[in-house]
Amino acid sequence: MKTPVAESRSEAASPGPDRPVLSVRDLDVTFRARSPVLAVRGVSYDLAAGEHVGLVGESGSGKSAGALALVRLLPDYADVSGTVMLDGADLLRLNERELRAVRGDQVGIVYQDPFSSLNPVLTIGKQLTEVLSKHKGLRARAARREAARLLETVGVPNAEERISDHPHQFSGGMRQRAVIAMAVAPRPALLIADEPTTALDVTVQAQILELLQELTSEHGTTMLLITHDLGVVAGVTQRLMVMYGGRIVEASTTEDVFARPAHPYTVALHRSLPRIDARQERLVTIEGQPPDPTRPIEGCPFAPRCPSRIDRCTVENPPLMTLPTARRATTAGWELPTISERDGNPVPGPASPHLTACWNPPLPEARSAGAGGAG
Amino acid sequence: MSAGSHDAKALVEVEDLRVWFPTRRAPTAERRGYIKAVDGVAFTVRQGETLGLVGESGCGKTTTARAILKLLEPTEGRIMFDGVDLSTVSGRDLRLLRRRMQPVFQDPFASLNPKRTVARIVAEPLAIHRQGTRAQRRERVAELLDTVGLPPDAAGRFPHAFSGGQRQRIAIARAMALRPDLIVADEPVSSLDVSIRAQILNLMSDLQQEFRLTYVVIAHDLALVRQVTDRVAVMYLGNIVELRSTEDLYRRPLHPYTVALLSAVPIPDTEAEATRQRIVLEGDVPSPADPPSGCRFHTRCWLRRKLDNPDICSGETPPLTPIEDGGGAVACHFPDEVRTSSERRETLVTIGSR
Repeated sequence: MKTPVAESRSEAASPGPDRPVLSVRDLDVTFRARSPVLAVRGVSYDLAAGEHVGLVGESGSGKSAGALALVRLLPDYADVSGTVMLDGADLLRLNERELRAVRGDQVGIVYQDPFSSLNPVLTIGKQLTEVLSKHKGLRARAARREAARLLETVGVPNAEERISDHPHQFSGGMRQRAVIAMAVAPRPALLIADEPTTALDVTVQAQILELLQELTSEHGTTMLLITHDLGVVAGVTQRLMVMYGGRIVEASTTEDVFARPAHPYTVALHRSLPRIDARQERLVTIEGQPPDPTRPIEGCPFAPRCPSRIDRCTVENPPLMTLPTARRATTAGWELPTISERDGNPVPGPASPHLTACWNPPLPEARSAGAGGAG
Repeated sequence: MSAGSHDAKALVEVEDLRVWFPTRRAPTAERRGYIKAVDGVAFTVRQGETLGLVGESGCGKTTTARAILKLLEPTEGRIMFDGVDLSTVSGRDLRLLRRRMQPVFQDPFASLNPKRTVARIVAEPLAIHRQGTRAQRRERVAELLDTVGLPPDAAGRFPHAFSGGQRQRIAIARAMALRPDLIVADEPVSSLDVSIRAQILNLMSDLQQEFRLTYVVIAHDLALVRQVTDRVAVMYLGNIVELRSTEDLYRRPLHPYTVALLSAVPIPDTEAEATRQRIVLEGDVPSPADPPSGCRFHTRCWLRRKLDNPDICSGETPPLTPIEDGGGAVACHFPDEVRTSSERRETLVTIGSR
């Protein structure tokens, strides 16, 4: 599966309209420990220029480990394999110096906790100018001017004065604004936002999401938004990838995943969410626990909790498959594709159809019920 | 959770509660050095109901809850529990009262002693309050574990052997041990995974019905609050700005801050998200060490701007005033303008329709 992407390396051309900005293939992340943690198990996807893509999952689903692995920001005890092609280079094979140039320049990162991504002993201005002189080659005075301008763009009032503040003098929302200013300053092709609003209050969350939208749309930046909150991705992303047990289990346009979820986990997750626009008689629960990441999974990772489990689910892991809409049986369930019928190994990407890793995907009625909540 | 009937008697009465924390630095002379975490809050909690306390960080919701549990002393004001003024009790009487009110905390990783078995953790309130013999306590622990949906063999294990959701069940079993009347739950599910939250919320709802519990639930998640509460107090910078039945609050909000909060909550539905109008408040919540004059929300209020900044908003603190038609109360100088605003209409198109 690595070859088609690996070949394009020699061309090293800038991404065209249909060439993905980022191409991930067979990404595995294992944390070495007494019982090794298999955090990400064979994840592949493409991101196109200017797309906003959500990576949704619960803690332990592998969503953060998978994203941090792209730019090798995981600790030493993490083993990462696969390929991560960005602008013709495999990020997993760059040396430390090359990688540092990529981080920041081509890939900007916004973390959950803005406090931990800022240096507490340096002023906000100092940290911003550092980024600007390093990645844009600006001289001291120009960098400082640009830093103030950037802070103003991201909505920090009195930017000229606040630039001499230390991070602790900023509120949580302002800190996250400063971090975003730093991440977008070098105009990266890809912005990875890892739970960017989870630590913030809801009114501030709305501000930060709006800001991320604005800045990425303005510069045509691709954004990979990692979150556990289906509400956050609903308004901000065009495509969604749902992770469970270290794998992508469903991928399609955001609209499709919400209106016609095609994996039992996505359906169940929808139903279990309290919604501000409706009060349910009783919340539908997903019984059981997420899979233990230290154990190999036989079959589908969701099988033990799945209401539509069939025998095959416990023995054979379902790969991502095109939803067989054409082969839908009316009442008896899906007519299941055999392995040979599958259209290769479809990879989630800008033009890919609705994909689900399920041997027995929910029927359309069940799917729309899942999306509609208690409506 | 279960709807407390409207004429149910009050279990907790909070009167003009103020909790100020001294600070060293004085921002201005007249407000010398106090964080006014809670600054003049009054409400009652009726027997059998679930009251939600909501608001953003720094609004005073957790401080209010701690004062109800007598985990801190009010600077001013009075808290009555079942007719008894908490400030007047001590010693044996206080211990007896404490049995009747129990906390459930946010983080079950921090609230359970990792060196103790589940049996010992759950039995601890019984031991402290000298309830029953050792054998009786063991029996009660088994009963409690069953009540919260844990297997009997959980008793001999340590917290690390359990997932977050199971740990929160252990914490709930401990809170239930003394058969309390009131449970104060501070963000009881916000540290849990999304797919586990519903299990815990349903458990709390079942326990409430079975044991006629009264809940005070503190949460920042407004979707969750709609699901589990009968009435809601919305707090902002140490004040209650609106206190309503849950349905009224979500269908007919009357404070500009409530409208903004409701409009800010993301909805897991692409259609709703695509069509809704959002009120994005400017700036952050001001510091409770130096709160704005008059209405504390005036610095961020969309309605004040729309009304061309009337003087009264920054000049006079609006009292929490009963609403004429229907129950509840709101603290705003211009509730009628909220009622007729297009902002409220737009917000309700998306969230009030069902």
